[in-house]
Amino acid sequence: MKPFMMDRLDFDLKVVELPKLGEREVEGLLKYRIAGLYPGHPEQTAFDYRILQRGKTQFAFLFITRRSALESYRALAGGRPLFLPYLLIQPYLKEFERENIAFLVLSPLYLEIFVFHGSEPPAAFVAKRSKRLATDLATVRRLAARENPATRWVVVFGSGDAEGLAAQGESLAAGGSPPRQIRMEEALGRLSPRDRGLFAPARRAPLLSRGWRRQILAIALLFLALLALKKLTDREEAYLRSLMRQAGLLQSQSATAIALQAEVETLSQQKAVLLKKRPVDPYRLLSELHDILSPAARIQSFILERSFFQLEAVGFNPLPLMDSFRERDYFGEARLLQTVPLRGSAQELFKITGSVRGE
Amino acid sequence: MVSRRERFLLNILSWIVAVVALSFLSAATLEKRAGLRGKINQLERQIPQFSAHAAGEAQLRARRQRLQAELEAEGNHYYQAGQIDPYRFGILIRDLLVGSRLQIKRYQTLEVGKQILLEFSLEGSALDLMKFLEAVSKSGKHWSMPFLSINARGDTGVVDAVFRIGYETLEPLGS
Repeated sequence: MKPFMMDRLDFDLKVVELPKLGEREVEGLLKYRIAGLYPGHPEQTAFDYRILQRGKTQFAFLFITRRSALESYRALAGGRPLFLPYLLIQPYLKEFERENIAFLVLSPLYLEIFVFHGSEPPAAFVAKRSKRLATDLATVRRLAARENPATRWVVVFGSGDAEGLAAQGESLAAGGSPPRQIRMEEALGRLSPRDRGLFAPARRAPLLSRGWRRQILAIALLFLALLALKKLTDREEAYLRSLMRQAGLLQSQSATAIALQAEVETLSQQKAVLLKKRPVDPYRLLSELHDILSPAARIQSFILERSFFQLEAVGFNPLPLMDSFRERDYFGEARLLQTVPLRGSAQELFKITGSVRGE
Repeated sequence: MVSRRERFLLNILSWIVAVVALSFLSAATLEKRAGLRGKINQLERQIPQFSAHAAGEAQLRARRQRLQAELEAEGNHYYQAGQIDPYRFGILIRDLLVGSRLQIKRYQTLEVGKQILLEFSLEGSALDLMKFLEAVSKSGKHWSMPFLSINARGDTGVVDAVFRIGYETLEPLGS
């Protein structure tokens, strides 16, 4: 919303150096100080202020007017924010915080000069405009002559003064550098959109002070963090419960499997016992011997006692037969005990002992 | 009326109380969480083991069934208590020997430990003796022959044989 510029001549501007105070205390102090600074009746007086920090010192720019004048401006503004030249230079002050700086604001009806010297109290001067810019600038130069020549000048001007300034405004202080020129539109553009202007109706005071709000926020954050931690813990608890259910189910299945395993082992042992008990089958033994010996040899005598056997046979060279015994799993260790060559024959009488491993 | 300084001190005190309470709560929650994490890790390690056991259940059941069938088949080769006695068994063997055309020279009953054995002394052709032994082998029951002696009479094909034979019984399981 476009701001509404009030006539500076309807306002009194005072600069008050402030002690270190809180926001609320500042207003109280200024209310108290205003009685000594402004002659009007307190009930018919309206004021607003802006705080300026220069180095370590804090100043209040105090704008004082009659309440009736303010009401007229409010009616004219129709809800637009009200402002005075100081608000135009305020955004630039940060740039020149450490410099000696003077601002000249040229309004159509008046000119205003603000001078800032380090941490000294700022000074303000206001005067009606003449019909000619040259006359106004001469006034300014006369005032500037009192200032330090090193003071830097900044001119804020409207479109009506642009040409004149270009022709005559090279230097405002004797021997000083040319002033920085800022168009009014540019300065207006630097106003913060959140700036509600001067004498804005008081906002409803917050229920809680900023300190309390911060504390409540901190507590809320801590509480939320704790809540998040609890939520995380609850989630893990639920996960643990589901795992326990799953584990319980699997454990019961596993117990069945373990019981089955034990049963299988018992049955295997019983089977092993039965197989061990199985007697030697003489028919199979003799059939195996027949396979090994024939046709090279013929059994003469055979004795089987439990799983041990001894045979006497006649045949050719019994030594290779021993390999056949070794190759068959059915037989345990077999030994060739004795070999007697038969007279008048190529055959030999031999004796073999051995054992049967079983089925 | 509480002064500004007192209000400040009260504020500090309430903050200390709040922070201590929150710290305790946080510590308790964190400790509980650590405990939960430990249990979760343990279960996450155990569950695959349980699953592996459970997965083998079907195989174990099949193996048990197979073993039971094998045991039953093997058990059928044994006589049950009271199913046979030495005299009936003697008749069986004697009939087999006679059927195999083997000539019994002598037979007697021997008691070896708990087992009763029949000892036969006989003569006959080697082929007939093999037929008899084949019949013993294929009798369907385990007939034990703890002793067998065969002597060939030269190249005549006639053999003299002595053997002891008995039958195997199966005690009921668990007795």
